[in-house]
Amino acid sequence: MEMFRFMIAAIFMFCGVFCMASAVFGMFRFRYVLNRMHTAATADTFGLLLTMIGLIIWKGFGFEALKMIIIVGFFWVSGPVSSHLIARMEVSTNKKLEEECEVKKYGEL
Amino acid sequence: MGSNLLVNYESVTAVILFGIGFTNLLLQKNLIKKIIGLNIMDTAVYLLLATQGYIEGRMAPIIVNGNTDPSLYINPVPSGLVLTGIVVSVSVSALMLALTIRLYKRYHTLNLDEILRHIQKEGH
Amino acid sequence: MENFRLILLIFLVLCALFVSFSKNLLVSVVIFMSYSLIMSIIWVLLESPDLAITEAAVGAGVTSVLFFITLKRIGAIGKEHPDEQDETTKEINSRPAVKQFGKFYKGAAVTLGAAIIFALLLMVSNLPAFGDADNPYNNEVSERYLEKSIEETGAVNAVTGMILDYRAFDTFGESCVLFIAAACVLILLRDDKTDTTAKAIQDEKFEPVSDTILQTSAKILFPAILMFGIYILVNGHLSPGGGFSGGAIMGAGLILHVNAFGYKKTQRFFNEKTYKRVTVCALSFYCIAKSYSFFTGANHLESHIPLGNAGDIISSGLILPLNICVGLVVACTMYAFYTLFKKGGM
Repeated sequence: MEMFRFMIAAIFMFCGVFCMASAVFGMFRFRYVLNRMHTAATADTFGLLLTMIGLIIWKGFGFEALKMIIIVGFFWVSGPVSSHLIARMEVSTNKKLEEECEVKKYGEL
Repeated sequence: MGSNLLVNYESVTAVILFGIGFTNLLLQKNLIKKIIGLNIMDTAVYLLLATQGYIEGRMAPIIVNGNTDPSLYINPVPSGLVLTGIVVSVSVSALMLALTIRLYKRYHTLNLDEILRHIQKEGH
Repeated sequence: MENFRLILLIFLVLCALFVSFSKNLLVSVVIFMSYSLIMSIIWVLLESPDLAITEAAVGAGVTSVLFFITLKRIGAIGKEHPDEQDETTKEINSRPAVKQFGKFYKGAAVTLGAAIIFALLLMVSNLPAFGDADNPYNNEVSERYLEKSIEETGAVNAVTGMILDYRAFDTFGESCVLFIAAACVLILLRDDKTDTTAKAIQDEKFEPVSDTILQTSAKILFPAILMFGIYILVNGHLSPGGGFSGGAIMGAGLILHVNAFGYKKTQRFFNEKTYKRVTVCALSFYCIAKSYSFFTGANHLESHIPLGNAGDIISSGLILPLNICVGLVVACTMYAFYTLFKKGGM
C-alpha cells in the first residue's frame, strides 16, 4: 500500500517536473515576449499544481498538506495576474506590435 | 597550504563570489552594475559566515519539546549576525540607488567616467 | 543532499558571472533576483530558516523592486545598450594612450581580483573542516545560548532569543540604521515643489494605471499577504521568522496595495504622518523597554516581566513587543523606500 501511494505520488511529481521542463524549453525556443510568457505562465501553474498534489499524496493529509494547498491557491491567484501585467506592458509599449502578431492596440480593445 | 580546500567547498564558493563582486566593482563603468557587484560581495560574506555555524546532521536552532541539549542543534550565533546584516545591506543599496538617481538627474548618464568629466568641467 | 547543495552553489557562481557580463541592465537585475532566490534555498539547506525567509522577502523581493523602480525612474528599461557613451567619451576612449591605459587597467583589475581570490583560498584551505562538531566556532558561547535560551528569555527560537534579548542593543542600533537610511533617501529624493498645481500634475503622472484584474486579485492577496506577515511577526519567538522578515512581507503587501489602487486610497490609511508616528513610537518604545531591562539587570533588581509558558504566543517577556516594534519599523521603511523612489514623497 505504501509502495502504491509512493508510485502515484512519483507519477504526479514527474508530470509536474515535465511541465516545468517544457516551460523552460519553450522559454528558450520562442523569440517573442508574448509567446515566451505564454509557455512559462501556463506550464508553471499546472506544473506547480501537479507537483504539490504529488507531495501531498506522499506526505499524507496533515498540516503540511494544508500549507501546500494554500501555496497553490496563492500562486494561482498571483501568477496569472503577473503574466497579465507583463502582457499589458508589452502590448501598450511595443510600437511594432503588428509585425509580431495580429492584435489590436491596447486602447482600442 | 592547508588540506581542507575541497572539504570546504561552500567557503570556496563564497570566496569566488567575493572575488567576482570585487572585480565587478573595479571594472564596471555603469553605476547600477557597481551596486549589484557590492551586493554580491555582501552575500558572499554572509555565506562564508553562515557556513561556519553549520554542523552536519543537526537541526535548526529551534528547541523541540524543551530538549535543550546543545548537541542537537547548530550554532545560532552566525545566523543572528547574518540576519542583521541582510537588512542593513538593503538600506545600503537603497541609499546608493538614491544617490544614483540624483547623479542621473544632474548629469543624464550612468557612466562614471562621464560623470567625473562633467564634474571636472564644472571646476570642483 | 550534498549534491543538490553543490549544484545550487554552481548556479550561484554562474548567476554572478552572468550578472557581470550581461549588457542589458534589466536582465542583470532579473538575474540578480534569481541569485537571491537560490541563496535563500541554500540557507534552508544550511539549517538557517530565519535567514531563508529574510533573504526571500528582503533580498529577492524588496531589493529587486528598488532596482526596478530606479531603472524606471531613470528611463533605462527600454534602452538596448544602457552603457552608451556620448561623443566626447568615444573620442577620449579612441586616443591611443587612453586605450593602452584601459587595457592596462582591465588587466590589473582582473589580476587584483584573482590575487584576492587566491589569498582567500589559502585562508579557506586552512579553515577547520565544514560541518564538523568539534570546530572552534562551536564553543561554550553557542552552547550557553542553546542551553539557557528557554530558561532565561523564554524564546523557543534560539536565534530570536539571542538577537532580541542577549544582543537587543545590537538590533536596536540596526533599526535605527534603517530609520536613518530612510531619512537619507528622503533628503536625497524628496520633491520640494511649493507650487501646488505642478505638484498635482506630477502626482497624476505617477499614479499607477488602474487595472480591474490587478485590483480584483489585490483585494484577495493584500489581506492574505498582510496576514502572513503578521503571522510571521508574532510567531518570531516560536518559529523561524521575526521582526525583519515579517516586516518586509508587510511592506511588500503595502507596495502591492499602492500599485493596484493608487496613492489616494493608500494615503487614507498610510501617509507621511503615519510613517513618522509609527516609526518614532516603535523606536522609542524599544529604547525605553530595553533601557528598563538594562537598568534592572545591571543593578540586580527583579524586572517583574513574566516570561510565561515557553511555547505560548504570549510568552517570553519583552521579545514579542520588541519583535512587533522592529517589524513595524521595517514595514514602514520598506514602503517609504518604494514611494520615495517612485515619486519622491509619501
